[in-house]
Amino acid sequence: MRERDEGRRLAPGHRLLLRLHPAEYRADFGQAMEETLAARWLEARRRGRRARARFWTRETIGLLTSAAVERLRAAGYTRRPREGAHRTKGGIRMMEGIGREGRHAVRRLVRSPAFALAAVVTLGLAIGANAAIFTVVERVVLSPLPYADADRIVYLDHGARGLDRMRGLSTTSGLHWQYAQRARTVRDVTLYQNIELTAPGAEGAVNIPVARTTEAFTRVLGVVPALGRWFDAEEARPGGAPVVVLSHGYWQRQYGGARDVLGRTLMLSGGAHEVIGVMPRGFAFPSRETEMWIAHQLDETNVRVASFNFEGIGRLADGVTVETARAELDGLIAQLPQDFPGDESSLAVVEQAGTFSSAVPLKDWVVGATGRTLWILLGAVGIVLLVACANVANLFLVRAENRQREVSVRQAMGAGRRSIAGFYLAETAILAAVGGALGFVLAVGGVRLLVALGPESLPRLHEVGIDASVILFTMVLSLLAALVLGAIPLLRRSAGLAASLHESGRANTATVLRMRARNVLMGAQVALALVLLIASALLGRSFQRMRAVDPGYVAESALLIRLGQLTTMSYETREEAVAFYETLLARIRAMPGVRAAVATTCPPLSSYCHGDPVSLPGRPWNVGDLPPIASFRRIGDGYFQALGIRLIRGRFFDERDHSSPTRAVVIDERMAELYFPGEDALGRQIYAMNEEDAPYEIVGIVNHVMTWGVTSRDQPPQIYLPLLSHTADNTPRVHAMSLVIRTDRDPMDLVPAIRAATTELDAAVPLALVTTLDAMLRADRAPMAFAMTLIAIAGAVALLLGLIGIYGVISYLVAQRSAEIGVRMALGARPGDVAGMILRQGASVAVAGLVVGFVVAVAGSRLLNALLYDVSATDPATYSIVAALLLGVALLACWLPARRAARLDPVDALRNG
Amino acid sequence: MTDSNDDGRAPVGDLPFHILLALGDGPAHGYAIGKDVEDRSGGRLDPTTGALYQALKRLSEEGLIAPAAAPESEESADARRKYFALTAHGRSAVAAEARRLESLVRAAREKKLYPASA
Repeated sequence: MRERDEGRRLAPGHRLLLRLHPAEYRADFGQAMEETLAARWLEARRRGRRARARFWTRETIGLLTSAAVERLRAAGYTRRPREGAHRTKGGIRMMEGIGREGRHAVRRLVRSPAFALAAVVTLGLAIGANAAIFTVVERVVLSPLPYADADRIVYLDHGARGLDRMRGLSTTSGLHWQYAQRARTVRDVTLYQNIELTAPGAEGAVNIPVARTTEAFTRVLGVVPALGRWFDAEEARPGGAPVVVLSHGYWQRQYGGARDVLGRTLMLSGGAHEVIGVMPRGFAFPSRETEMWIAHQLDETNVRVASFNFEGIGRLADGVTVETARAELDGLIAQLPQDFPGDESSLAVVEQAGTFSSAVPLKDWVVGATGRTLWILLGAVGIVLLVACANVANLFLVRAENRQREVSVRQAMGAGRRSIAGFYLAETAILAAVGGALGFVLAVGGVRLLVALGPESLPRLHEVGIDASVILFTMVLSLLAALVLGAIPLLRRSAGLAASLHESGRANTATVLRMRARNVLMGAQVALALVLLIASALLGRSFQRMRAVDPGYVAESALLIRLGQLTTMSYETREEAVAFYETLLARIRAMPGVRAAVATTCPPLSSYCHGDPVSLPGRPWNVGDLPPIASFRRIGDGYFQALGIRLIRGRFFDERDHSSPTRAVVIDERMAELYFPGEDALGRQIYAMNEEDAPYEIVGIVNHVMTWGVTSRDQPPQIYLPLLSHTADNTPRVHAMSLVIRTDRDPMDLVPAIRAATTELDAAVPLALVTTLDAMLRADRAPMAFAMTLIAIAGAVALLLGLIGIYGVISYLVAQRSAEIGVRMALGARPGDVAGMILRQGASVAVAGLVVGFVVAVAGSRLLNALLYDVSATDPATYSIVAALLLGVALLACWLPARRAARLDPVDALRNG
Repeated sequence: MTDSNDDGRAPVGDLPFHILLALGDGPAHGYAIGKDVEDRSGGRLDPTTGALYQALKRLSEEGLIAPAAAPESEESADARRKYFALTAHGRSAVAAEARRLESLVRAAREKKLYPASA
């Protein structure tokens, strides 16, 4: 089956090229060509890289040619080649004609190197930038996920009107069960959880990212293990034999790809699992890191309707749209209270939270908001390409004017329209081809740079590489550029032969039409540059705002280490677990360079600390209302001091909180404001709603700490509990904690010593995550930094090209009008008048461009909103500052040639003009 | 002898002639034809898929070849394949072209140009 699919694959871009053939031709030969191409491609792939590249290049050219020729034939452009001899001669004549025109064009271009270089570099830059961004967009957003019929897979997300969340709640085991039993629009559903398990490694224990999922997982994704099998229904039931399926990478690394891995036993967090299968190479779901899959042993008796801590995907039944599926799932949600009468929370899920299905195609979920960023970037570089084309078009206009005489002579000697068109097209084709080649080289570098700089969070970025689609895209862009640019001088030619011969005596002022064309191009450049500059200024301000956000702690010189989970077998009680951490921390504190070392269940910017409901004494919550939420975290001694979290009122934890049975908690200012508005929260009591326990007492208020991300606004308020106190409950669990170690040297230097100390204490505990608080903060800001940098580059390039364009146009204008200027000056005009005249002309075009750009920017601002933080997309200050700056720069670009005009010697001007 | 043969037919081009030859053993599909052309010409002719099908189309239009059913031995193969076979017209065109080439070879022999003298 796989082999067969392999044999049906086409080389990138070829399907598209087949589609370029006329419909009739495709009906006759499309399928057969596809088959031949696929067979040849398979053969080329087997022969290696060079054969692949050769195949692709040859076939691409072949397909382009046959598409073009057949299109022409279909349109009736054919001298039906009945007479072979004639055809050959005609063909040769045509080829010779093209060759000759090409050679002449090269010679002409070599004679004006400045023009050729300017055109090639401008086009190359713009094409390169477009091809680079397009490559990323193509791979990340456009190409389907690597699963069979991937567009039928939906991510079973949920929203809740009552919580004001339209999406992003993921799913629960109860919802999964409901869908699995009753849904008809979704054929198979599965749920999964990313967990971490500890496995023995060569140098102590290692932490393994594992997905816990159901039996339907492989059916939904349409994959089969490359070796062995997936778990069956028996193994996925409670009490089933513990089995594990390995990723291809793990199998290769740990077992050297040995086929007898099947049946071996693997100890995962203390439990023996039998290896029953290996997934195919490259399969990486739910995450790139997933190394193993184990069965989630689920049955009707242990599902929870209300705990949204799973993720789920499903495969749509044939012919069903996502909308239809959503409607059915909504119906099933409404039925939950009847179907799960034992689970009281189902009523809350339906009535209070107002849960609804927000299922989306899996790809939309994977690509997420990044898709929009990438489209915006592609738009930005597209604008740069337009500016570049406008620039080169202007160069061509000027050049066409200068060559008017040559063309007229050719025409007078009997050259037809076609030959004149060839004259221009040959030049543009050569320029576009060389520009495209340069663009391709730049694109290759650009893509490497994008992949290197792109934030980790950019999905599928590791899949991005230069492939045929880039080459194709570059070729198409160059072709378009050639056609557009080549057409410009031809349009201009409508003035007619007689007129151009008449005016060819002396340089005259340009005709109104010509002038208008240039002005439009120049104004368009200003407008486009303004749009890009406003976008980059808005993003820059957002980034500045974001950097200015106080994360609530001091990030510098601090190591963050998440430890693997302590197994409850070795650490039965909380005291035992805490004792382990205290011993480890004591050893770390003794290391040179360590200023402080503390433990917490929830370090800053760790996305996994969620909120739990709380209740406030004397403030009953109406049934039907949603309870107040707070995020609980346990912390070791000295945590606030070590992280630089500020005390606002009250006190930090101290000695009395471990020994005495007080139930002291510290809350953050957000909680004080939200739940005790206008009151003093100190000394007040608060209950955790899930416990039948005594209340907590608030002893201190500290500042809020960013936990979900610097720009995330709906983070729940925070409650801190000491590690050891209130032993009755164990929420949050202390069996998986993170250490924050503040140092006075490079924090990463300490990692080997800490790893050794941990292994010495308990060889079964791995370091699951090792990073610094600084790196976490940078990673959090990375997506915006990435977008901002790229748009700023696009803006800068557009500005530069725009400037060159304006300067070129005005300079040309001055040169053209030097005779007129000479006359004016001879008649008594002062240099200032002349400069003013030129400047006014440029300024009026620039202002018109600014107005247009302003309107476009305001209209398009909505698109940018999603990328901005704390800045309005129509921020008037940004708009006016950027517009003023651009006007200033445009005037400068006009002023330089204007000054030259003012310095003209009237005698010279009249003589040479 | 002139360039034209007795039917007054124009000579068949290099690639078309090779394609017609490839069909000499019976119906074949595009990929196999391409392979045969490449092998027979010693790699001198290696048409791209685009060029190959254009040539097949021309030959069909000129009535030298026609679509055909898959031979029984290949029935299980890919359904997208399109098989071509020589028409009677095509057979006589191959014969005429071969005759023409033969006469050219004879002429070369008479003028002692072939086989090349050492």
